[in-house]
Amino acid sequence: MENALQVKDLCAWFGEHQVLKNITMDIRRNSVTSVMGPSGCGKSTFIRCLNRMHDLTPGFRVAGDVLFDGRNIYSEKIDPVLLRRKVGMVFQQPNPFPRMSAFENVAVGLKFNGKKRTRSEMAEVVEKSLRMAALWDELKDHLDRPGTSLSGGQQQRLCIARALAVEPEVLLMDEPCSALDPVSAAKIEELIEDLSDKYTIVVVTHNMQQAGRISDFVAFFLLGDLIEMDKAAKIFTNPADRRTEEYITGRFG
Amino acid sequence: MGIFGYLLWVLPMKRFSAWAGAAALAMIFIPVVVRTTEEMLRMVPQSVREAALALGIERWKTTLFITVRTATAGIVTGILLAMARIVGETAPLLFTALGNQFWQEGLDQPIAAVPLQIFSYAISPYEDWHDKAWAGAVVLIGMVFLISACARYFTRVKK
Repeated sequence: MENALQVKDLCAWFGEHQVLKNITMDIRRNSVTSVMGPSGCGKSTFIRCLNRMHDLTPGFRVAGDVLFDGRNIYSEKIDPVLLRRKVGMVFQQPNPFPRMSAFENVAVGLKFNGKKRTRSEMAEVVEKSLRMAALWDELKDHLDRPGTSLSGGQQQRLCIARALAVEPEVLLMDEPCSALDPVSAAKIEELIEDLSDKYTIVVVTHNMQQAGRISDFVAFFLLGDLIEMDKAAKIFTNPADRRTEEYITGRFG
Repeated sequence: MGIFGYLLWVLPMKRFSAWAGAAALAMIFIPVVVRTTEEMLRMVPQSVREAALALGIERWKTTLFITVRTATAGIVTGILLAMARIVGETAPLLFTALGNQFWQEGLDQPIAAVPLQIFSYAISPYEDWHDKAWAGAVVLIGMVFLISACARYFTRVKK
């Protein structure tokens, strides 16, 4: 199937306040889709809807469908725990688990997801994940250091490795670079491009240059509405909507 | 607390005992530990919980293995503070454990305790016994110090 995720008429509320209004979009498999827009437009809320991270938020309510592999993730039959193993997430602030070594941080998802693995299988998966996250060479001799003792950029890559270790199909990233310095951010961007061969990636960003560099598709959100979604090149050169144009030319936002 | 323990355990069992003393101290100890543990778990940032949930870890496993682990140092400190608190308790034990000068024959018998021994030596009229009470106090402080040092050692952050 071509689309990893299909969102149909997704609405979301925090209490009485509606934050997403009838969002409909398809997210292409093995591509990078950027969700762009000014602060408070519902970008983060939107991608958190894609792996049901809002389930525990009091007062939060959704309507509409999100189809993953053709099945609605909000149906009764879907276990959000299993869903989140398929749809991983990386957060804005690097959040490695405190009091765990770098190795444990990567292994922790596997350790708790039911299947028994031997120590060497674990080590294999950890190495593979760290290699994919371009962290192995820096970290292979320091795997027992606490995850929180790494630099910010390394922590974020550690979090990416941690998410990759459970072998998701989709990776959601909520402003993964915004807490990092430009050099670390560039590394993460490079990583996103490499990973898009194997994974479907959805990135929230309010950095337009970044969206332009890394994405295949760009969705522009404004005040809870999806204004426009198209190929990145089209959005940045010839957007269909005037508001998109104003945003990317820096007239507001 | 001592009188409460006396009513609850000593009267129905019709004797002072180690059990009654333990129960009276537990009634001081448990609420303190529960409260500090709760506070420490609350202090674990939401982002840690979210990270675990996003990895497809069930909620109960997240709480039990991730949140508690993150808060270990705080929880252990809470337990220690509570221990340091009850180690010096004398009054509840007067009414429950009573104290014992002889060989201990079982946990349903009155039992000696350092603070009780200090108390009985301290109220005695003999200079010699007073000295022993002071020595007891040093032993007590040493025990608290030892417990704290061990806990600091085991919960240290590895660098």
